[in-house]
Amino acid sequence: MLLLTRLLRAAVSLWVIVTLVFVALRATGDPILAIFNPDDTTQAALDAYREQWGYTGTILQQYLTYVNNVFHGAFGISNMSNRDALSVVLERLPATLQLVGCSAVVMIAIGVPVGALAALDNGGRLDRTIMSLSTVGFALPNFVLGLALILLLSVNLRILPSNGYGSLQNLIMPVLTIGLAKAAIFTRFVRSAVLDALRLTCVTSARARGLGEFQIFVHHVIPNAMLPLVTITPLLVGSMIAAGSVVESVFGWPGVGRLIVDSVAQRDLAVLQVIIMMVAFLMIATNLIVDLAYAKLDPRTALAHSH
Amino acid sequence: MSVIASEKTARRFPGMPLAAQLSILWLVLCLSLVAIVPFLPGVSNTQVNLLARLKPPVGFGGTWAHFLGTDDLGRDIFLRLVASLRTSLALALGATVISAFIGTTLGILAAHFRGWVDQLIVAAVDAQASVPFIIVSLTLTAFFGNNIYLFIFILGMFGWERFARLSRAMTLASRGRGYVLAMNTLGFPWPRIYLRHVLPNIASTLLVTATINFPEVILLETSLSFLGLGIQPPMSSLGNMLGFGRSYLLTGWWIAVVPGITIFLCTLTVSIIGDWTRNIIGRA
Repeated sequence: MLLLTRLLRAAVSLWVIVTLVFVALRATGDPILAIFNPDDTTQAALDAYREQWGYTGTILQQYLTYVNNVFHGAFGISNMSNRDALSVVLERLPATLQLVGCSAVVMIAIGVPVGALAALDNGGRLDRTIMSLSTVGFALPNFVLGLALILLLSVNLRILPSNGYGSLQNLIMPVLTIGLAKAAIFTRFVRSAVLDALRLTCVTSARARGLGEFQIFVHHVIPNAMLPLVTITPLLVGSMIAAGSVVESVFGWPGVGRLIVDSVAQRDLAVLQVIIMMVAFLMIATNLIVDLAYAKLDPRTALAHSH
Repeated sequence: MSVIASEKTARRFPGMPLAAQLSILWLVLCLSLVAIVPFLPGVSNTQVNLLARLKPPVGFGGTWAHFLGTDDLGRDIFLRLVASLRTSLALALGATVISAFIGTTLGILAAHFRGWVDQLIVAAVDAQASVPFIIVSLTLTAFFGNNIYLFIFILGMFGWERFARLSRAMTLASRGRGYVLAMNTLGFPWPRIYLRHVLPNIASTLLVTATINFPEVILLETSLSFLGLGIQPPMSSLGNMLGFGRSYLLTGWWIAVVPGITIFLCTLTVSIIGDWTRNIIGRA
C-alpha cells in the first residue's frame, strides 16, 4: 500500500515536470522561426517542417499529440540530426554513466575514510587540515580544476590526452575532476554523520560494556552513520549530472551533459525534452529507492509509517 | 609598532583567524580595483595592440608594461580581468539580493498565512531544491535566448529556496515570542510587525545564508559564461574570459589561468568569511 502511494506520487511528479517543460518550450515563441530565417525560407517549407516536428495546432492539441506519442514510445525528432530524439539521448548515456559511476567510486573511496578520520580527530590538527582542504575543494570550480589538470598532465607533462573518449587514459582526468570536487563535499557529510553517530548512547554503552574501539566503530558507528549518507544520495546524483554538463564540455566527453549544452546552442527542443524527462525520472527514482531503503535501514521509520 | 597594531586588531576581532583576515584583505583589494581602475585616465580594457600579442606575465618573460600579460589580440589581461571581475561580482551581488528578497518574502508569507499558501510555497521550495539548477538554467537559456536581463533573472532565481526555508522556519518560531504577541495584541498591522521587528531579528542568519549563496552564484554565472551561454562578448565576465582562454592553453596559458585563479580566490574567500561568521553566530 505504502509502495503504491509512493509510486503514484512519483508518477505525478514526473507528469508535472514533463507538462511544465512542454508548456515552457511551446510558450516561448515559434521554435521553427528560431531555426530558420523566414526571409529566405519558403512558407511551404516552414509548414512542412512544422508538420514533421509536430508544431501544428494549438498548444493543447500539440500537448495531447505529444502525450499520446510518448505513450507509444515516440519522443519526437531531433532537429539537429533528424533522428529519433530518444535514441540520440540513449546513445550518449553509456559515456555519462561510465563517467558518473567512476566519479562516484572516487568520491566514496576518498570521502568515507577521510571524513571518518576527521570525525575521529574532532577539533584536532588533522581534522582542521581536512576541513580546510574540503573548503578549497568546494570553492574550486569544475572547469578551473579541469583546465588545471589539462595544463599539468597534458600540456606540461604530456602524460594524458586532453580530450577524447574510449580509452582508460581519456577517462582519468574527467573522473578526477568530478570525483575530487564531490569528495570535498562528501567528506563533510561523512564527518558530520560519524560525529553524530559517535555521540549516540549506544556507543557510550558499548564502551561501558568494554567493547574495543574497532568493534564499536564497525558495529555501532557505521550502521548509524549510514542513514544520513543514504539520504543525500539523490542530491549527489543530481549534482553529478549538473557537473557533467561542464566537465564533459571541457574534456570533449560525448555524454548527456555535453548533449545538453549542444542542444541548448542548437535549440533542439525534442532532445532537451527527453533529457529533462530522463533527469527528472532519475532523480525521482533515486528518491523513491532511498525512501524504501531508509525503511529497511532504519526500522523506526518503517514502524512509524505503518500506523 | 607592527606588534602593537596586530595586537589591537586581534583584540578588536577576538579569535579572528588568519584565513578570515586574508580573505577580507583579498575582497577589499578586489572591490577597490573594481571601483578605481576603470576610471583611471587613459585606461582601456578593449585596446587592441597587435604588436603586443600573447605577451607572458612578469616572471615568465614578460614586462611590467603588461604585468599579467596580453591576450591573442594584445589586450591587457589585467585590465580585462578587472572589467570581468566587475561584471561577475555585480551579477553575483545583484542575484543574491534578488534571491534573498524573493525567498525571504515568500518564507514570511508562508509562515504568516499558513494553510494552502504555506503548502504551495513549501511545494515550490521542494521542487526548486530537487532539480539541479544548472540544468534548469540551461533549458531556460535555450528557449529565451541569450539576453542579459534573462540571465540576471536566472541567477536571481538561484538559491531563493534556501532563504525561503530559513525565513519561514524563523518567522514561525518568532510568532510565539513575547514581542510579536505583544504587538499583535496592541493591534499593529502584520506587515509592520514583520518588516520592523521580525526581519531585524532574523537578518544575521539571512546574511550568513547570503555568504553561502554568493560563491555558488559566482560558480553558476562563470559556468554558464564558460559554456558560452551566459555573458556574451563584447561584455566579459570571469567565466567567458576563461572560456576564451581555453583555446590558448598551448600558446598563452596565462589567459585562462589568471581568471581561473581569480574565480577560485573569490569563491574561497567568501566561503571562509561565511564559515567564520557562522561560527560566531553559532557561539553567540
